Amino acid sequence: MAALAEVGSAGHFRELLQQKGKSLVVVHFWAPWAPQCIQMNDVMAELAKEHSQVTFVKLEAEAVPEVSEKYEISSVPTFLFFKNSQKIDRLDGAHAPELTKKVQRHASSSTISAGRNDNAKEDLNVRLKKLTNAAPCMVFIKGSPQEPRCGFSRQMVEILNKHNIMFSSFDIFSDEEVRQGLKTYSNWPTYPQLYVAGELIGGLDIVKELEASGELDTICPKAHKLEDKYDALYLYFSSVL
Amino acid sequence: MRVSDIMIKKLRDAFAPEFLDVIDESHRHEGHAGARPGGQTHYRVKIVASAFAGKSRVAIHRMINDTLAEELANQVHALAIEASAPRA
Repeated sequence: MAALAEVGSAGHFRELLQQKGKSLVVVHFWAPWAPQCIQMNDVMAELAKEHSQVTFVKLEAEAVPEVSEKYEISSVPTFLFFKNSQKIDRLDGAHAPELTKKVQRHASSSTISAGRNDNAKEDLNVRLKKLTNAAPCMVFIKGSPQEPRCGFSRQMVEILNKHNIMFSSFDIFSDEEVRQGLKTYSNWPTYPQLYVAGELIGGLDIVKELEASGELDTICPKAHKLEDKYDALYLYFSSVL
Repeated sequence: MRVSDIMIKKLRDAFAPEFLDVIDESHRHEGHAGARPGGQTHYRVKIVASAFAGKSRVAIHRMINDTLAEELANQVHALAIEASAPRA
């Protein structure tokens, strides 16, 4: 598999954006200690295959602080979208479906329809398997985490955020085939649905029970913030001194 | 026959529970998707039964969902489940 090109300095970054002109450039601000970033690199490699006119690069956020600070990168992974050296979009977090959507939207060719049409040819179960595995922790809700359209979905997102859990979400209102298909695929009739490593953990009731017993923190992956890493290093050094 | 009565009978027949309560919460969801005038759309099931002993949460919920499959496919839009085995 072709590795993603790495941007190692602010100068290199400027040159790259200039060179690419009006073509879409997607920059993955990553850290080698964050497993979600490794996963997202794979997602980007797949997207690169589909969108040959788009440039995908990664930039180790802590290695090039000049650029990270300029764009206020506070956690990894973060994705920035550039055209004509201008930032046109941003995605915070390991949201594979959302990254895919944004790439489709911003890529200048007619790839926007390709997503839905290609998926229609795919076997539904294959598609559902990919979706439930799209991120280490996936939640299928009504609406978005920012604007949930159902009280149960809202409560689910609140619990996940309260526990600083890193998750990607899928809006089942956006796709009727997925909405009905997933109920059969998982033998689970209701939403929201939480998956970890592609496996159904349960709905809101079960997540509440797991929260109460403390198991939720063990089962679900946590969000990594750069500040936390710096805090941890600071504590280490202060204790050594 | 009310939907809740049907669900109570099915759950009793399937699991011989020590404790069973089926609460109609439809009024709390008025105006939301899935709610209908006349209610009988959103329920909470509280059930304690030895049939659930040793089973995972997902398995227990699936057992209950299967028992109430017909209701879930038709009238009932949402089912909140609080299920456990009796404390030994």
